[in-house]
Amino acid sequence: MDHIIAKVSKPVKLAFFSHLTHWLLFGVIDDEYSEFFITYRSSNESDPKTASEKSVISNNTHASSLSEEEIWQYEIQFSQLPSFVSSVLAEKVLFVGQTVLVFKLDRSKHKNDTWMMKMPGSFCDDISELWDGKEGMFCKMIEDLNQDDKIDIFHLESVINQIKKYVSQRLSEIAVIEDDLDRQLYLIKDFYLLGRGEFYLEFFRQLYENSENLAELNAKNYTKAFEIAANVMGIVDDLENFSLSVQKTTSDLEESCEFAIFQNLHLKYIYKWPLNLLFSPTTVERYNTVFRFLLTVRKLQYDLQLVWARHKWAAKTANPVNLKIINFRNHLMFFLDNLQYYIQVDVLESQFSILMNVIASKADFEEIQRAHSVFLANVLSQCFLLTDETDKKINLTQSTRHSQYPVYGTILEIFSICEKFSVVNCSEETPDDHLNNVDRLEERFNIAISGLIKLLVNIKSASSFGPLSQFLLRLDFNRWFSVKRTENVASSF
Amino acid sequence: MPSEIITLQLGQCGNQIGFEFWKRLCLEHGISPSGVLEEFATDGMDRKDVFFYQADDDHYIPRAVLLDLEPRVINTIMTSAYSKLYNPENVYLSKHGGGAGNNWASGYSQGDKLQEEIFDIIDREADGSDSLEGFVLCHSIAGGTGSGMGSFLMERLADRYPKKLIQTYSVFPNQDEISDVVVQPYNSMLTLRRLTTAADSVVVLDNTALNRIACDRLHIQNPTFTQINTLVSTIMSVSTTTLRYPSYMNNNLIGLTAPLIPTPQLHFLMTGYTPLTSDANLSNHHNPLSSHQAVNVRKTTVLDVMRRLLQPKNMMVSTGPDKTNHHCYISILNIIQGEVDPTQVHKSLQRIRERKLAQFIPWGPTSIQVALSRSSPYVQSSHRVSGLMLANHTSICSLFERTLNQYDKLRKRGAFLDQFRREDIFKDDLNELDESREIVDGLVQEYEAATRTDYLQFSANRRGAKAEGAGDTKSEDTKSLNSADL
Repeated sequence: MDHIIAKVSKPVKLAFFSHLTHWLLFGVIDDEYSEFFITYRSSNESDPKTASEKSVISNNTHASSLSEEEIWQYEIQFSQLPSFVSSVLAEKVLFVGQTVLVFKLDRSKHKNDTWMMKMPGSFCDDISELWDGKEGMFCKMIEDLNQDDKIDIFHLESVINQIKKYVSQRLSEIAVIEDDLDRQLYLIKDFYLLGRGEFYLEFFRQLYENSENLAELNAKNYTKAFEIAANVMGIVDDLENFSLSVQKTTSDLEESCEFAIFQNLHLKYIYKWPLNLLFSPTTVERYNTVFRFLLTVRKLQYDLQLVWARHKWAAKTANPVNLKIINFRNHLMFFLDNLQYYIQVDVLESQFSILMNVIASKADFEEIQRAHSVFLANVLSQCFLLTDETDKKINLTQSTRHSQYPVYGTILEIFSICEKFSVVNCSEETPDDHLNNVDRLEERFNIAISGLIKLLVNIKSASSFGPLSQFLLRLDFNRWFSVKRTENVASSF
Repeated sequence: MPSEIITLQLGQCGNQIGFEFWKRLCLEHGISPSGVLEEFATDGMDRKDVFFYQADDDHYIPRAVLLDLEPRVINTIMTSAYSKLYNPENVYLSKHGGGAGNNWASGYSQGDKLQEEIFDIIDREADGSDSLEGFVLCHSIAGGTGSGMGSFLMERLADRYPKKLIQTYSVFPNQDEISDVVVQPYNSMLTLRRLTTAADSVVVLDNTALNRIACDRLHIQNPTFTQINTLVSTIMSVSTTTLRYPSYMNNNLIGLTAPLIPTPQLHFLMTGYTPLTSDANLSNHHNPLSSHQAVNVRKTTVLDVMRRLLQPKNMMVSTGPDKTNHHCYISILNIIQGEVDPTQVHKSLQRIRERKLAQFIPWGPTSIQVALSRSSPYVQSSHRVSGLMLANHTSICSLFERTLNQYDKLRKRGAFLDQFRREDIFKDDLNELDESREIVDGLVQEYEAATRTDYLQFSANRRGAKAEGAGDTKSEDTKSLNSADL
């Protein structure tokens, strides 16, 4: 019986290991009968199932060259997965092949980049650099697998683990040594995650102080303000691989929402090879989601601080500002400041320190990659930005915001109140109109904030979702909102 | 470079603390006493240009204006190792060199007479910056030049630069020792009025508390001016770190002060710093006690720092005991430096709230804001984590009450008024003094009111009452007259 099984399985084994060798060592899938569990999905395919994925990618065509895109078009076909290969193992196989592909990328096109100039010939640019003469050894290992009578799962796993470990450690070495991984991640933090607050402050100043009519701001203004700010701050070197663009002006944006324009901003980062595996198009898009959110918070804060200054200076003159308005302004500023502190300290700094610890512990590249994905996922979810996979692009101006993401929706409502308040305070209207407007906004704010506190309290008591309680602690530190809410509830009975 | 800040140092005290401040900034940014960037500091990512500008020959020059009516302190500076640091055109000494005789009125009148020359310097300095954000004024409130001329300058600056912030580091006199300036209460009262009406934020540096801290916490028997001023320069430098280094938030003066000052009048800030050690640049004492302490503080955690910052004994303002325990925080910003585990911040906040270590205002939302800040890579710190607290606390009014009491005693006797009457501003009557008293008294009342739930009501009523007092509530003109006094 064993003999028969061995006989039958022999050609199957042969095909399987040949595919495996091709993929693992050369990043090649030569699989005309679709036998292997990793497949290549061509971008020309008109398969409706992948259409949405594709659109995400094509949005970012300028962010990645064609050959880089291809790396992400290799996927695991779970239906093809042999029962003896676990999905974890399959992902390791995918990772090794993708790494090989990264080494096969045509790096000559980067020749003009300054960083390439710095490292001429230190590593030759093909896959022999990755294998460093060890490919023969690994090839032999896979051949040995084929010699086993039966497919020995443990043997298979151990070989794949060895190869993966080698590959990812090699990649780690190259990434850390050649490309100063730490520095790149700090740059990501500084610019995608607004670590350089002073730079973005200058960006706003360039954008708004020098243009009278906000409606006339166009794509060019944003790009230009970004560049000027870099110049003024003297950090052109740090920003050489970053560029800001406005993707497209869509007509479906709510006119009254000025911060909606931020939803079209796209910050592009030319990462250094071989960090391609860290920055898939999806990752870049996620960074941009966080970036746009943080930029919105920062902008609203900037506006309110200008209002604060105006109120402060008015107090020295004949016409001090009505206290009601000042008090409401304080509530709005308080909300934004604490949201900001929560995001920067409790979320970004905390998560970033975890990521950097992984890198500092000499992790192999796959571990770094995983830590990086976890980092980004946590940042997104703790900023309340995590949405359905089906709705990747978060729409700030969505009318159905409340039902879908209650916390995020409420935060957006307060954003819009902040924005209207700043606008109202800039306009030259009569004090009475002004007060009425502020009254209306205050009413909206009270509803929103008490809703938010209620939500946070409920979610907090329902589960131990840490981030929410962290945000709640900051927001309700002197129990102002919760006491006020109880009072309101009490008085309504 | 945007958001530049011009520092104005007035009088002996102002120039002394200013001198210490610039020494400290030079150290932190790797700038030599002659203004040349040290070799090890050439690729720093700090923001030197907020406080310095670069001359053509790569010298860094402080955006500082040094003013005094008598030459002693400025001469000391100009003969020190740092003499080449400053732009000599920014150093102004009155020609007569006779000072202001510790008389506010004399300083004020001389400010008036010299204003053209002084504003030539200030305007030139302002023109030389990209987008000037504001002025920082260093002075003492008790003497003659810093208080009198400082008051005059604050008023003019507010007029001339209505869209720039005016922040002051104001030194309050030591109450534990008998001052040789008998008219100190008058000087203080008149200056306090300007700090209330013309300044945008005032960082109170209380010599009483500073001396006590030097004695009790640092075990220095008789602290010298230099030792006290080193404490002051620590406060000044740390409170500006978020302006001088890249950071998420609080990147400019507005961003730093706006969250701390919810209502316009209540803009007097206290500071606290921990851990205080008698490290080398604070004092050269090597007594076993302080070195033992230095070893202890190395293990400091974020929670330790944040908890200690809430202890009154670490505050650099002597507020006296709060018998009815009603005073409270209006706002708090902690600037934490060092090796901070960011996840500890939340835990510390939680602990502080659970244990009710801080009492807050009952009329609005407030919290402890924590900014994690970089520190200079060129200055070795002897402790792992350190922190500065900037706080708006209602008990600061006890300082003003003390001044009111001393003022009243003197004023009732009509003592020492002759030297004031000699100056223009008091030529006809002493209304200026009485008005100042009223404004400072109003400030105390407002701080007291801020401890109650009905603060906003109180504040609104007071404004109403002011307007009514003028007889016609509807007339904008009378309103403006009144508010101008505010």
